[in-house]
Amino acid sequence: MNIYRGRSISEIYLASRLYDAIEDCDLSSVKTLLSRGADPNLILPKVRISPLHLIIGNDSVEFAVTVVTLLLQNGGNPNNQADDGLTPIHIAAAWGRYDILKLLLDCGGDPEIRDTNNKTAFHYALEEGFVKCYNLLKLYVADKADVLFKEKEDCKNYDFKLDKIVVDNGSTIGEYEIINESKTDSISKNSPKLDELPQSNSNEYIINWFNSHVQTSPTATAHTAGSTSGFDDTDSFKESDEERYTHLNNHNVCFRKVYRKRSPKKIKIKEISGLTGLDSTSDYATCTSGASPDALERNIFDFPDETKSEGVSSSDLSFVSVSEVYKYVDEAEGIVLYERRFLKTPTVSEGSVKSFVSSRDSLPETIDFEDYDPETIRRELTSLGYNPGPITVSTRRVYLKKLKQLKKVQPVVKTVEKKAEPRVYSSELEKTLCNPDWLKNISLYKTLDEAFTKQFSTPDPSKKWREGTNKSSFTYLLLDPRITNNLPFRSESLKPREVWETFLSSVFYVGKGKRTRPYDHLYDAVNLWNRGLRSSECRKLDKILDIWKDNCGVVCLHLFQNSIPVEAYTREAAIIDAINIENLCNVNRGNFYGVAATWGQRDKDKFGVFLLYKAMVIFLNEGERQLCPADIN
Amino acid sequence: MSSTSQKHRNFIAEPMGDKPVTELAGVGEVLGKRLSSAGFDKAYVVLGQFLILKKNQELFQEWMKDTCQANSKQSADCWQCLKDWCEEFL
Repeated sequence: MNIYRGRSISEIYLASRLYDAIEDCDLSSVKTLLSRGADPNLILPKVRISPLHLIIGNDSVEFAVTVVTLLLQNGGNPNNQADDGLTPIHIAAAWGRYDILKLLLDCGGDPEIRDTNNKTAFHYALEEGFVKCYNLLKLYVADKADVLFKEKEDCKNYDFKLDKIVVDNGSTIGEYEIINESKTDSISKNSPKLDELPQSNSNEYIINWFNSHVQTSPTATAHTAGSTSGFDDTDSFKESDEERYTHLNNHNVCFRKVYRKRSPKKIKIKEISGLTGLDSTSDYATCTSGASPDALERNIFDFPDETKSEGVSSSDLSFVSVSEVYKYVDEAEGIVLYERRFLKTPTVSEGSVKSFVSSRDSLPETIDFEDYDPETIRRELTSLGYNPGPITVSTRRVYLKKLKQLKKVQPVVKTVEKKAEPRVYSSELEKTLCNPDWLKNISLYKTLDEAFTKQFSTPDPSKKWREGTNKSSFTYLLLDPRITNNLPFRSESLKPREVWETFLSSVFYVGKGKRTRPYDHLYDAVNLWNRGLRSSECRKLDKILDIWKDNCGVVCLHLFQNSIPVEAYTREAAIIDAINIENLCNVNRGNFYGVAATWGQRDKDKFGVFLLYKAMVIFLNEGERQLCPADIN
Repeated sequence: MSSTSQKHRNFIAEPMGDKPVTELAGVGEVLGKRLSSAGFDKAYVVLGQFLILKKNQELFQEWMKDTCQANSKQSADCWQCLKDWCEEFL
């Protein structure tokens, strides 16, 4: 039965009781009534305001903040206008309640709503002389101009494409370049287009490669069969890369392998077309546009099965690293970046992980290792964190190989470990490190996450969010590759706790980005780098330059795509709080919006921990992506 | 985990005594000959190598491959055999 503004009598009854409870400063009643579904936004007859309007001017500021928080968590709308057009924002401004005003604004309050006297919250703040509140309100309006400006340029203003694929099996590095012409039958057999390679020293590189492989030493020939299997799997990778690329640009794409080790004498080039039935001996392949993303996914993630069916033993694959190099060009800003993606190698079954090194026996030994005496071997192994047994005549060769393998996998780890000092994280995060079973309680964290995402999945148009409600933002983490050291690749051989620890300690910056310019946050660093500067006042830039100086690329992890700006800002803030800002290069702690703004610090930290965990899972699945300017290898 | 071979079960059923190297799981006639010519004629000599490599599977398999061109299945079988034997008798 509707008796008042479309509300039933029971709704009005509950809301009036809530109103009374607030008037009586009775916190427990407020809680009960809210749990029974009392609507804090209902404009009550007679008093002509809602419970939310009432609480703001409560005598006890402390009580007011607590209850406003509760009401906001239970659907309180900061833009709800009473009969005289006043919103809770107006009242908070008029009363000079700074904390409440901030909460309301963070939950989507609009400072520019006018009441029946044509006044905004600004007028009231000024009239009452609350300068602090006035300035706070201004902060939330400045963003509006921002929105208009930003939404205008909401189109892609960068170019991003696959540049080449690099395959490294330990002894040989093969590069696959992309040729942008369709159906190139006319490629002459032995003249790779070197000028298309971005590496300035590619000529040299190929000559070196030829010199070392054209000579048909008996070991090299014997090894050919072994390495073939390694390369076969790159063919399937290649296929999927092409699909991805084609999907993006709707063009015919051809790949050409610049060099490979299949035949010791010459490079043969053979063409096949079509998406399926890729012959494992193909050196060259084309594919047409229209590949579905599903096929792409399948190709990447079902990879272990494919290799099994080909009869390739997984231990042969484990040392082959495949990376794609993408070129990112923003012409307006004059930025060129190379992104190197290390594809995650297939998950190797437990039994064969331990035989990691076994397939490398036929690789020719490098001479400088041959001279090592047992003591040197022991010293070097120990310094790399490996504890060898007795090094005797019969074990020496085995340990030499182990040493070589370790050196290849972690060439830089030493320098980092020296300066790494223990980080102290927020207590919630520390707890997860002490208690390895914390994942069993992941559902606790999930409820926080669900509560958070729900409110933004269909943004309420009456609320006003900083930078609008365009779902084109994401949160990103910058990681130090000298610490991660291709963590996705190593993760199988590490304990979950070690992976978690390494991941956490590698994060050095958390930020929010936009799809239109995904690498905006690196532009400053690139500009400095191109001007020849190698250090900076800003800690973040300094760190990035430092990483580039060490010939690594910054690992950039993009998370939680397609969120609205405030959502991304809140995630950023939660992660910063969880890690603790002292451990990061961030300057500001970030701001929480929406329901998260009403949470206590512990919940905020928990939310951050959960986001970090999700980030790690994404990182491990996606593989490492390193970003660096053009002149870094 | 696949079940173990009869040879494996036989070997880990009793102390190895002076058993020839060919009694080890994964080591047949050919590998046995290669191992013997490298000085590893008895199972206990291979056990010595196994122990000196600290029972490490990766290193042991690498060594087998080096010494007698064992494939990864053979060397894994042999490693498993020695490991199980040690658990029982060492």
